[in-house]
Amino acid sequence: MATKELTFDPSRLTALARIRDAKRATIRDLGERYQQLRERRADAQRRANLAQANAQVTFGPAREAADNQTTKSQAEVDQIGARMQELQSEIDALAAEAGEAGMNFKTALAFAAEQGLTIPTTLADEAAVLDRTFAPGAR
Amino acid sequence: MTLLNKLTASRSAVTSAFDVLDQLREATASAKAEVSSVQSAPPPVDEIMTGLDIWLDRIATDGFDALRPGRLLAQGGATQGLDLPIFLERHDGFAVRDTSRAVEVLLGLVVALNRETFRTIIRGQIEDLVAGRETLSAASRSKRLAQAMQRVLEAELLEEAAIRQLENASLDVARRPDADPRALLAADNCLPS
Repeated sequence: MATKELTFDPSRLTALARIRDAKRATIRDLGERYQQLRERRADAQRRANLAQANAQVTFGPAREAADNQTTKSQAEVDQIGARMQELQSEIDALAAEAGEAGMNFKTALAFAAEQGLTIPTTLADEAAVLDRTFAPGAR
Repeated sequence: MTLLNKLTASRSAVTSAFDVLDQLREATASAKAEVSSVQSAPPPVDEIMTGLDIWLDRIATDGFDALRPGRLLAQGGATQGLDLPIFLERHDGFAVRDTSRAVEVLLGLVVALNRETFRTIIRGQIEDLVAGRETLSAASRSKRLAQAMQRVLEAELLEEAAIRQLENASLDVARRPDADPRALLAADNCLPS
């Protein structure tokens, strides 16, 4: 395959930043959902503890109802815990992808700066960080 | 076509698109492996021997120079003979003989006196080591390297083209973290179609 004359399109930087940001946003959303699940699990755990405490001081049908409630709430705690684990794995995988997307963006940004391409104004802040990082005496 | 068939067809289209991407990535990896193999290919035996000869000349000359034969010119100097450079390193309460320089000088003298034997043995060892391996002279290495790197770039551009097509079809594709920035920033019309 003969390579056509390569020209670079600085707007690709925006596309790469968008991909990275979308992954980060998804991680944030999942993080919030994880937090909500944690609260729901704590709530279910409280209910299970309360029902268990009730079961110890009641007799007959009331105790049976309290036992049932304990089992139900405990099952809910386990179910939420399992979902939290799944979510955590999802977050970990996405964090790795976001890291890779961030790496792609940084490599491209550094290359664009090196080539003297016009960096889109929306990325000026990130380009300035890059300048500071690579400026002589920055370290 | 039923909805289920459509769904199956679109799922298989997605799967085969990702299969194609995997193949492209394998092609990139293999092009990169070619670069590594060109970089690590040993030079031809004659080129190695030319380099070795420069070193042999240096240590042989250095070996005789280190004996300082000029001392023999002094009155009675010849009877005192020549010394290997052995240094005495003094420490608190003891001294150590530093013979490292003397060993280098001795190697130079051994090489100078048995140069051809030394060369023949080393050459034989080098020939055994490079047997069955491709050797590259400096000129052909640089040519082959340029070709191999061009193939890597072409493979990376193909990969990027496939990723952009998948992205245009709203599919989420992760790029390799070590993707070439030239491919990442290449204008759409420069990518292979």
